[in-house]
Amino acid sequence: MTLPFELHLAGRNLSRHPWHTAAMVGGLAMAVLVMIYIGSTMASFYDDIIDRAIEQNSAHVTLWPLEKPAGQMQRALREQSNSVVQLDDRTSPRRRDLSGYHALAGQARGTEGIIAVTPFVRGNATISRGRLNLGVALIGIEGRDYSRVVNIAKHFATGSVPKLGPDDIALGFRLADKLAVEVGDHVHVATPQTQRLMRVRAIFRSGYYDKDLGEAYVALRTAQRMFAMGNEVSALAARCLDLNQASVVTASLAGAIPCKVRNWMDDNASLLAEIATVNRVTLFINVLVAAVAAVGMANVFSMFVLNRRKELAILRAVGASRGSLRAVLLAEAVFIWAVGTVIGAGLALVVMVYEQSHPYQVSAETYGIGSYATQPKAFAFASAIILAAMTMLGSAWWSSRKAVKMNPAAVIFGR
Amino acid sequence: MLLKVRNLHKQFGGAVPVRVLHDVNFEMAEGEFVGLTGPSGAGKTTLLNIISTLDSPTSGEVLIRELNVHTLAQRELNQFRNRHLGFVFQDDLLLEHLTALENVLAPARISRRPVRQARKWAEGLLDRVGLAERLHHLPGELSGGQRQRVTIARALVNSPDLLLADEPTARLDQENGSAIVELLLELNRQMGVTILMVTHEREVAARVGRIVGFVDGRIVSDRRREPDSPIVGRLGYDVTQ
Repeated sequence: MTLPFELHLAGRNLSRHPWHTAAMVGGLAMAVLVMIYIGSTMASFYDDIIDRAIEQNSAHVTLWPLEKPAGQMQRALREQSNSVVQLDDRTSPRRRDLSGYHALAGQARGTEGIIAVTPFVRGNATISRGRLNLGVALIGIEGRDYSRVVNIAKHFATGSVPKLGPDDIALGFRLADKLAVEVGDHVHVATPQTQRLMRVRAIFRSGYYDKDLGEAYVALRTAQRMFAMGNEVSALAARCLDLNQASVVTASLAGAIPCKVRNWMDDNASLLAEIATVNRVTLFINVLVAAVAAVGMANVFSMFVLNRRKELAILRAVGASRGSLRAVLLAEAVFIWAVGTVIGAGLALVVMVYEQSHPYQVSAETYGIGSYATQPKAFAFASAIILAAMTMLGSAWWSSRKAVKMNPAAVIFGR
Repeated sequence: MLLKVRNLHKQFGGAVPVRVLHDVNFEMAEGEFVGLTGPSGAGKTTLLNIISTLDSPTSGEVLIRELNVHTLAQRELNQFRNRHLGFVFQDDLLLEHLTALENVLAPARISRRPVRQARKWAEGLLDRVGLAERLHHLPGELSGGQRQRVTIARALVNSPDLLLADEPTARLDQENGSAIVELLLELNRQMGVTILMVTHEREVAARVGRIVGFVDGRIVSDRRREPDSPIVGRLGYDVTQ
């Protein structure tokens, strides 16, 4: 098979200038490697944040009662003054928060985009051991159902939520450390309504300092009794098929169910804002890398073309069109892009695979995870490949612009 | 007539414009071998560049087979140059990364001629110029004379109407220069190739059928040579001495 003349010329030219070709391929490969690695690192970081903050620690959507009953502090203030004080009072649990939750849960389950719903109770309590009293948020859950909505199973060493009996409690590891208790020990748990002695059934590690220090799980029924809620619950937690559709689900629930509906995006607005900032910085860095690569490539390619003006003039003299010359230069750029991209992407993959087997060790105390490794992200690969193509083809177009418009006689005869 | 040059003027721009060609009128019949001679700076190469469409005139026209070539659009001009004109430059301008055969094939491939047929023709031409054993050699592996032979073969690969040669022997020693002129004469005689060659070497000029003398951008003589007789032109010297 005979290659088109332009491809033949491009191939010959690149093979006759191996160092020049290697320098351009190497430069592009490095740019691709950096872009893929940065993109993948930031996407892995984002996924990890989402996994820890959302999948493991909060529901996609929560349904709360429309009106919060006044807490003790608000009631006291009202008694002393006629003015209405708007204050988020966390000094007392929300009693009888969500009445008729079974019907509401059924209604929520029937909403498009929701795949699981579970009730929970949340209230303030103190846990004591010896002379030490610590305030905690006591969360009542139906363990198996709750872990289908919020993946707290990962927090437990066994990989599953332990079955909590009426007198069982699961503590965060920082709380357990502070109380100096281990699994099997007993602690006193007091709510404004009652108190009881409970056995530490499990210790969890959520990766969040506040949660590990200030939260404890008990069985849903136990929490209802301790907060004197009868058969009612604080709220419902729901899981969406696609967590990014949570706002859509929220909108449809808000119109259909008489509840205050919140989603993970509302609950983590500041975190998402920070992630958006990080993403903007990442995009800026990638664009910067691409721009630096583009300028470098354009310069190298320009020199490459400049050194070949006589060759291009000869081709013009024997009848080659400007388009034909441009095709030669673009074919060379496409070759450099293809090889540079394959090498750069391959190197990025090698680096990330190496990281998987040799992850960075980080402080579990600070970050909640003991190690970290960048995961290969398809989006990072795709964006780096596209940016590299734009860089290379742009450089070739820019360099070829003047070269193909030259007067061949002027170049050949040095005028 | 194959070539007609009419009222051709050329002026190069700049702070002080320079008039290079003054009202040049000139014709060439098919199968002729014309030597364009004159002192350096006379405008010979400029005239050749304008005829070859590599440069454009300030005014006047160049007709090749009655086609006014400088009225053609860029794309048509490229095609015309590729199919109807052949060039042999002073410097043996070859594409250094292509072999001798590939260099000769280049104009044929630009015109999208079938490769197999063009290759056979190119091999024949290289054989004709005495380079049958050097088909796959790179220009860097060839001598000056051999490189110039490759450019001659390349100029002929598309069977052009007119071969334009700009001092093809200028960079060669006497032996190689004579061989190149001999080759061009043979091509003219045996293949009927029409050749317009710029030269300021008397020995070379003396061997062609017609000599056009050029001084200060004007044609000052146009003499046909009788076989085996010296040409004495209005330049005032016998070009065979």
